[in-house]
Amino acid sequence: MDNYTHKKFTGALKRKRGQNEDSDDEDVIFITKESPPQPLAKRQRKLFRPWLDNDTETQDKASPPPTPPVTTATTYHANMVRAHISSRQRSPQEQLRRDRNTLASLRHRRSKQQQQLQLEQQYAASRRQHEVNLEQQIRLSLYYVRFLQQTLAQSHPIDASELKGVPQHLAQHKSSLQKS
Amino acid sequence: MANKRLYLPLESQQQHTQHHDKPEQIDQLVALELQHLKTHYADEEQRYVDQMLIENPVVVERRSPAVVSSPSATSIPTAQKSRSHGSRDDAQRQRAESCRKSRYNNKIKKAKLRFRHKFVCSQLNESAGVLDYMREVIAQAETQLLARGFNRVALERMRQTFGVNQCNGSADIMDQ
Repeated sequence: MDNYTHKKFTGALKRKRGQNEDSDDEDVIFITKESPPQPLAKRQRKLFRPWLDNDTETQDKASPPPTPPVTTATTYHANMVRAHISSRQRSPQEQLRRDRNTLASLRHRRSKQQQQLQLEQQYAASRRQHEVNLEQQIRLSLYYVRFLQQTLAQSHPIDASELKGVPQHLAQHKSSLQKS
Repeated sequence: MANKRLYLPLESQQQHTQHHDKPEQIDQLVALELQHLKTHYADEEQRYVDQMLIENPVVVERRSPAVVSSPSATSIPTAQKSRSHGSRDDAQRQRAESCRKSRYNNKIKKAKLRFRHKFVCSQLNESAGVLDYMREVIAQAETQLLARGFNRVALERMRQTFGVNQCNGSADIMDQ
């Protein structure tokens, strides 16, 4: 998983980090999309802050801002990284450490998701197999009660007692099936 | 008359049995009974999961102490800036609460899946064991029947009618 791709490390966030500081990315490989970098001030205006929408609405009415070009940085993503009011400046080493940690946690989360998916599939398969087994039990019970037992009893009534009693599971099915 | 019945040939007994056990009727009976068993299984599974959740409660601790907002505690903001701060804090609190709820629900969901998986594995083991035992008993009965001169082809036909010739696939699942 050397070339791990995640939207957090593509597009806008990568451009932002690349412009803010000179990060030493020798160990961490990012796969970025081809898109032109945007100026810092313009990007900050596009940050997702719904709690300020009402306050800025009145300001916008007075002086409508120029419509920004639609890019990946301006479009809304549900899982967008939350923007802090005061963004902390970090050293390249610290940023690298943070990125490594983030990648590791993302990988861990992905592996957990895969484990969860596997468990769900195993559960579904086991349940299907159990239902197949139940159907077979019903059929075997019917076969035994309606055919084998009766035929054996009719052919030689004395030998019916040689069957060492009706097995418990077949007896349970027998009572329910004979009612039907 | 009773004695005559004892000496009836097996072939006529086969015809008598076959007349009343058509494959469609068998399938209908099987479908009905299977539906009952499936419902019973679902109830048992739900009961097991609920019991396990009670015995192993899921706890999600708060990362920060909960702030209980009441009208008397908060002072009436006069400036617009303090109002925006208050609404921002409310939004943050709301978000934190919804995050916490989401984490809790996800934990519950995962725990339920684990318990359901445990339950189905135990049920599958049991049903596979029961199936093997039933097949043994039926094999014994068939051997006896064949020993008394019952026609093997007729026996195979009856097996087809009742649909008991399905192979056992439970070993593949249990080996996983």
